[in-house]
Amino acid sequence: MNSTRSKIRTARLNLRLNLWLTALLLGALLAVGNDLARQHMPRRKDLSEDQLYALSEASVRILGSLEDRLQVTTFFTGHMESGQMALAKAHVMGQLQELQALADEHMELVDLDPSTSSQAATRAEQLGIQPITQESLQGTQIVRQAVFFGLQLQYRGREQILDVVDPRSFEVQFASAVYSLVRDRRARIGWLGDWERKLDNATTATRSSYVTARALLERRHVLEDVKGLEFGDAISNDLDLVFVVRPTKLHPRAAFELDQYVQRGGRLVICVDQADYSWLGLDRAGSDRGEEVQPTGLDALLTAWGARPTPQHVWDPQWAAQQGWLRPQAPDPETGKPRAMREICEHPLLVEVRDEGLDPTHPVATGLQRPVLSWAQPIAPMDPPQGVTRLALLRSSERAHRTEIGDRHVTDQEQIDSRSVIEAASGSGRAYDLAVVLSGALPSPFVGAAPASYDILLDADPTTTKRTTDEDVLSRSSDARVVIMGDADWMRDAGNYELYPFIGRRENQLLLMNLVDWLTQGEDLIDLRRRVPQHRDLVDFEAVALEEMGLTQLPAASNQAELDRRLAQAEEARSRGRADEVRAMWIPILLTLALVLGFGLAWNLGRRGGRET
Amino acid sequence: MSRTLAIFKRELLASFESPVAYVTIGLFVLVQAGLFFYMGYPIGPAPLPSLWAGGQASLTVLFTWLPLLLAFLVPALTMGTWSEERSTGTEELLLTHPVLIREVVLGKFLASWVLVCLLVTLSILPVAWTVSGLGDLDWATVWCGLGGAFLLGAGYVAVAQLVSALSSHQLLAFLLGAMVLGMLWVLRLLVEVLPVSLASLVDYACPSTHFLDSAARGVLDLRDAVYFALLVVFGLTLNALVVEARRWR
Repeated sequence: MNSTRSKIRTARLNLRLNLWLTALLLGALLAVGNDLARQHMPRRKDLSEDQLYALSEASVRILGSLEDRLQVTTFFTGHMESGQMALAKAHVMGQLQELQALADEHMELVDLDPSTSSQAATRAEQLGIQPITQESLQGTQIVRQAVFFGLQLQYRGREQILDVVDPRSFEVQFASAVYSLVRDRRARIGWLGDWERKLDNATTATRSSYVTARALLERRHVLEDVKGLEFGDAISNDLDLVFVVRPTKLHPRAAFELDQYVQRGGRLVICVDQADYSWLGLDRAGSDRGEEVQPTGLDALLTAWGARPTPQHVWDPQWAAQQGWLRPQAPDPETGKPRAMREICEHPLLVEVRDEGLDPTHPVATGLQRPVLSWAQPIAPMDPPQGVTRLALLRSSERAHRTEIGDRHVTDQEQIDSRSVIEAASGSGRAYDLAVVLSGALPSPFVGAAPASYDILLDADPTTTKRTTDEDVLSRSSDARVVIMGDADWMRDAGNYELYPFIGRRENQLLLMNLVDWLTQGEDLIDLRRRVPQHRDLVDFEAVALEEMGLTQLPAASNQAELDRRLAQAEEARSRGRADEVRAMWIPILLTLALVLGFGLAWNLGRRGGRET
Repeated sequence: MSRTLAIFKRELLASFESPVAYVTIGLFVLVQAGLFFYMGYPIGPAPLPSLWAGGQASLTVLFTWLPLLLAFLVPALTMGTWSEERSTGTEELLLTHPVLIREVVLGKFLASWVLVCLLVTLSILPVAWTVSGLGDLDWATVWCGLGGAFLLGAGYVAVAQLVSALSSHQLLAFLLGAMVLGMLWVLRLLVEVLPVSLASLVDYACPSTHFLDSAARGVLDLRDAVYFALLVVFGLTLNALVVEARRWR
C-alpha cells in the first residue's frame, strides 16, 4: 500500500517537474523563435493609403541606381542609457538592414562605437559628428548621457555626413544623402536679394532675413549670391536655379540679365513682396503695420511673361492662419525686467493654402500640406503668351478678397471678423492665384532694346536707365521653367516679436525643397517626401448647418433687430450641428447594441422553445 | 479534429446562452465608442485627441485603446473556460471522455477566440462606417487593424485561458488574467525608465507593440504574425500541461 502511494507521489513529482521543464523550454523556444524572426524575417507590407511605414519607390529607385559599393559607417553609441534612444537606434538599424537588402550587393555597413573606441571618437570628431545630450529617467534620477548618433556615407570618393540621425525621417535623410552621392555634382543655386537682418534707422524695427531658408538650401546644394547684374554681369550658366527674393527697385539691366539667364535655359523663382513695411506699430502705440508699395523693377518682364503680381494683398477669411507675436509691455515696476504679452489671432492676410488651393498634378504640390503665404499679393489673371503654359500652383479660397497695401492691418480678432463679414457681404469673393508656374518658350520684352548697364557717371537714378544697347537678345530660346510667387514672407525668418514661424513651418520648408528639387530635376526626392499623412477632415456639422440656413454669405445687418435675428439663427445652427454630431455617433452604436440584444433574445428564446418541444 | 470542432461548437453555443457575453459586448461597445468619440487617448508620451477634437477621419484612437480594453475583456470572456468546469466539477467528467486534452484546449481556445473576434468586429466596424460617412477614412488601415486585433485577441485568449486553467474560481481567473495582460500592456509605458538592456527586450515582448506599431497603422509584418503564433502555441501547450497535471493529481 505504502509503496503504491510512494509510486503515485513520485509520479506526481515527476509530472510537476516535467511541467516546469516544459514551461521553461517553451519560454526559451518563444524567445529564440522571436529572435530568429526579428533577425531573418524583416518582411512587411504597408497597406495604408498614406504609405508612411514602408520604404518608398523613390528609395528603391535611388538605391537601384548605385553602381559601385556604398559604404555606410554608423557612429552610434553602443550602450544608450535612455530606453527610448535605444529603441530609436534599433529602429534605425532595422531600416538600414532593409535598405541594405534593397541595395543588393552595393551597400556595406560598418559599425563604429565612438563611446568605446578612441579611434572612432576621433574620426567622428573629424567628420563633424558631435555627441548629443540625452536625458532619461532612471528610478528617481535624471541621467544625462552624451550619445553619438551619426552616419558617414562614402561612394566613389565622395562622402555625405548625417551628423544626427532623425529616426522619424531617417529614410528621407538617408535616401537624400545617397541621391546626392550618386549624382555627379551638387546643384548650384543663386540668390538675388538681401538676406541678412538689417536694423531700420534707430528703431527696433527690422527688415526680413532669410537665414534659415538659406541654411536649408546649403545643406544639400551650393548656394551663391548673385551680384552685379545692374553692371551687366551675366548670371553664370553654372547656376541651375536662381532665387530672386523680395526684388526691390531692380535696375532694368538686372531684369534683362535675369531674362537672358532664363532664355539660356536657367530656372528662376521670383518671390515678390512689394510691401515696404515697418513694425513700429507693434512696440509703439496701436497694432498697425505701416506699409508702402515698392516697385520691383520687374514689371515689364513679368507682364511680358504673363504673370505679374498686383500691388495688393489677399484677404482670405476662409483659410486664415494663426498669427502670433509678443507685444512689449512696460517693464516690471518691481524688478525692472522687460515684459511682453502674447497675442494670437486668426488673420485673413495669412493664407493657409488648403488642398483645394493646390494643383495636385504638379510635382511641387506633392505631399504639400497647407503652406502659409503671409501678406500675399495676388498674381493678375492674364493670358500667358503664345507657347507658354501658366499653371496656378497655389490659390486662395473661393471667398478671398483683395485689399490695398497700406490699408490699416488690424490684429484685433473682433475687428478682423467684422471686416470679413463686410467683405463677404460685398459678394465679390473669388479665388486668386498666389503662385504660378510658367513653362514653355518665354518671350523677352527686351528684343531690340537691351537696357544699358548702370553707369554712375551717366545715370542720375540708380534704379532706371533710358539708354539701350544693340546687343543680341535671346527670346523664346529655351523650354523655360519659372515660378512666380506673390509672397516672399513664406520663406523668411520670424521677426523679433513674431511667434509665427514663417519658414519655421514644416509645410513651408517642404514647399521650398519641392520647388528646388523640381527645378533642379531632383524629382525622385520629391517622391520621397510625398509620404506625409493626408488631411482627412471630418464634416463640420456646424458649418453645414450655417450653410443650409443661408447664414454664410449675407449682407451686413441693417439694424439691431436684424442682427439679433441672425444671432439667434446662428445659435440654432450650432445646436443643429451638435445634434447632427451626436446622431452620427449614436445611431450605429445603438444599432449594434440592438443587433446584439436582438440576436441574444432570438437565440435564447429559440433554444428554450426547442428544449420545451 | 472532429472532436475539437465538437468542443468548439459546444463552447461557442454555451457562450451565446450566457448573459455574461451580451453584457460584456454591450459594455465594450459603449465604452470604446465613448473613449473614441469624446475622450481620446491621454496616456503616454504622445496623447491623441478624440475624434471630434482631432477632426480627422482616423481610427487610430480606437486601435490605441484596444490592447488595454482587451486586457480586461478577454479575461472576462475566458474566465470560466477552465475554472468554471473545475468549480462545478464538470472538468473531471470532461477529462474522462475519450478525448485528448489538447483537443479540448484547442476547441475551447477557438470558441473564445471566435467570440473575441466577433466582439472586436462589432465594436470596430460600426464606428468605422460612421467615420467613413464623415470623412475620407483609409479602409485598408481599418481592415489591417482588424486583422491585427484578431491576432492580438488570439494571443490574449491563449494567456487568459492558461490563467483560467491555473485558477479554481472564475473571479480569481478574471482578476489574475486582467492583471497579467494589464502588466503586459503597462510594460510598454515603462520602456523609458527601464534599464537599457531590458528596454528593447521588454518592448519586443509586449503584445501591444506588435499590434500598435504595425497592424494598427496598416502595416502587415511577418514578425508580428510569428510572435502571436508562438505566444498562442506557448499558452495552449502550457494550458494542456496544466490540465494534464491535474488529471494525475
